[in-house]
Amino acid sequence: MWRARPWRAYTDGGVSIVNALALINIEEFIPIIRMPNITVRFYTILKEKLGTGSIELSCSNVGDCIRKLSEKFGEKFTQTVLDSKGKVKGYFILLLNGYVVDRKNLRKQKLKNGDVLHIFPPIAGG
Amino acid sequence: MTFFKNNGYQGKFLRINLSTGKVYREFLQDFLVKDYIGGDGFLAYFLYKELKGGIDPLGPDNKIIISTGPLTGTSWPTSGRFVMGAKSPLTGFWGESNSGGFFGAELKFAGWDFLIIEGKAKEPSYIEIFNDEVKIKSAKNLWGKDTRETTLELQKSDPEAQVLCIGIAGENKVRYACVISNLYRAFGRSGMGAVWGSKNLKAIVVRGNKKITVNNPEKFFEISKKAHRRIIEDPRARQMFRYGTNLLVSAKQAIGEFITRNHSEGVFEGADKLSAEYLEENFKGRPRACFGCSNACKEVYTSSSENPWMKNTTVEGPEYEGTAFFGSNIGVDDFDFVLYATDLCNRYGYDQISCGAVISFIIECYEKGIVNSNDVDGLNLKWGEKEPVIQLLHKIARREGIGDLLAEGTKIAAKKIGRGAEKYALHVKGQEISGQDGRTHRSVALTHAVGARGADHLRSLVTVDQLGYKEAAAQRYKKLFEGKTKKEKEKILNELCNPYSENYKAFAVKHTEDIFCIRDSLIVCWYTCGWPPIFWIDDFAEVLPYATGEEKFGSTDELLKIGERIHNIKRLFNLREGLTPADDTLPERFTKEPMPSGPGQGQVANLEIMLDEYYKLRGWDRKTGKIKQETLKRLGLENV
Repeated sequence: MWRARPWRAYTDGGVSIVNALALINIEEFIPIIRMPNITVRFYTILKEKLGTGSIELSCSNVGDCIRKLSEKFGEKFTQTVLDSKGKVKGYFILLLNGYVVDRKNLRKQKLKNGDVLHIFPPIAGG
Repeated sequence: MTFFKNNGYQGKFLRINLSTGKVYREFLQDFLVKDYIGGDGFLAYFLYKELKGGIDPLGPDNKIIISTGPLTGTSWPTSGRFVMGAKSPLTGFWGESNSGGFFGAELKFAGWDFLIIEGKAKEPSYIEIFNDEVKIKSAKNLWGKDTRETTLELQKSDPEAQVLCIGIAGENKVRYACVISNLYRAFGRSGMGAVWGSKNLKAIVVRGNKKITVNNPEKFFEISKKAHRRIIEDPRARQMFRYGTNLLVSAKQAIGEFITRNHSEGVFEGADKLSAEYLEENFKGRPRACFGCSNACKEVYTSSSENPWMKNTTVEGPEYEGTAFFGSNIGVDDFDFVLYATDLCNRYGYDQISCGAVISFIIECYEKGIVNSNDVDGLNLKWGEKEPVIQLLHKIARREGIGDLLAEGTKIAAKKIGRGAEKYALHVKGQEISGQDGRTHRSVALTHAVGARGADHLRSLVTVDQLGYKEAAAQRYKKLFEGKTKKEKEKILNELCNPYSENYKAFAVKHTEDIFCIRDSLIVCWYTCGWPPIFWIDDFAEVLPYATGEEKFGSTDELLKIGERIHNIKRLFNLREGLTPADDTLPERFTKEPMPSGPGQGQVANLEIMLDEYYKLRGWDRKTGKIKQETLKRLGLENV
């Protein structure tokens, strides 16, 4: 990560922190401060209500994602997907990259770049 | 011998002998109701009792039974379904099928609980039933007509009459020919249409105006009203009302189980153009219901003005299966084509699953060089090519050229082709595998393998072990958790609801099979008992005593025992036909070929673990496949 010997930044006397930071390969810091970019996909009645079938979001976990969707779409999202306690309604299906999301603690479900979160209204068939 | 009083039943059935032209009116005996309930139960009892082992399914000794149940034609929701059974010409084993529509209710209104059709007519014939009047009439002017033409012809004098009929596929005994009801509903699986064709039976017309009584009308109607309300308010039912079963397309794609190119993959690049939302927007989907149903899950679509085969034409269906088999499974993402193929399947009278599977089989053989252009009448059978598929639909029904071979089903066709074709024939016991994949859904691997009628997803599809329905799974399979600590329950539930785990799937499949035998005896529609169900066995136990007056039906344990009995009779039927444990299996595509892509990448189904547990739970001998004596005794079948 360090492009130059960091001690030099301090022995030159008065080298500012900004200069010290210039010695750091900033690009390698980015994953620490930037959230993963994911795609969220909506279907049927949810797609219709939100007016879109997918959206790109930056979020660190599924719980964070649900919060951001609530902020972005407001009641269109919250009244359709969330119950009175703010939890995702039991009959909605959350799939992350095709796997069922553990709904007990959505914040524990971490996300990474390129993940796809599917929010399905209830489905049935055979 | 006592005869059952009329409560939910009409107390009578018809035995029609096509060889002699004689019609017998028989009474429903008490024990049939108490031990078998109706529908599927009656099929099991009579087919096992009255058919001999080894008969030719396309010979005159086979019998067709068409049965209702005690709820058919009543105010209970989804009471429009009815069942049909015979020895299957596709598998040589137990054959049964189930259809919606209005015929079942009309048969009850005519005063009959079920029909047994025997023998073979000397010439093409149809049966006409108006209340107690039953006639066998000549169908010479109907033979050669498609199912739509036949139905409309027979309804000319009475548009309210209900018609079952076969198309040219059934007349030519295509082994997976179906019987069509109400133009678009089908007794799809098991080749029932071929059995009709072998008997020179073209159609049955029924009309009735008798009433159906129930034991406690006030209470029955009260429960029925609540049941309708439950459907109307259920979010899943509301989705199905709007989108039909094509709802499944996007979900299956997301989990990597959307069958693609003969089940070789689970992710299809054209899935978006087959999705429910796309169809609703572009093909004006709207709902239609069966008799007495608030679910109204049948979707009617109108083909586009650009459809080169049928412009602006309204067609009911397809279901998810039809969309998959004439869409992704042959590499096509054109719903106009799927609609046309569906219309042809309905008119010719094909099981859309088996027919689609046969076509994808021969395409894969062509792609892999096992057959060449000369073998397939010069057709360019490549994935995504539509015109050759249309040609095959015409040829198979008429048994012309390559159609004659394909009319036999994948099992026989693959054997005749040889050269490794059997690897691509995806069937169990001769019936083609439906639109699920055991590599991404372990319980369905077991469901397909052990199905009495061959690869079958409807007699025990678990569903709640996919897509995170833990609460429903915990409630449905509560016996699994009895006596367990909270931590143990959590562990079991996680394994049960893991679609990639073999654990506890045998319990779920066995339990579901028994309950679905009850479902098919009442008869109640699958779509309200499948995905986190609207109705389950507790609801059946509540309503049945009010319908029938039979207190025993108020116990879920008694109902489960009856369900288990029915299922074991089907097993006895198959054992008599020579079934062995080797028949409870899967093609290697699902057990040895890892899923190549998608969320299920690398997965294969370990069937043996599940089979071991399933046989144990069933009380069957693992080496011989036979039912153990103690199991037969427990179910009252020791003298069978």
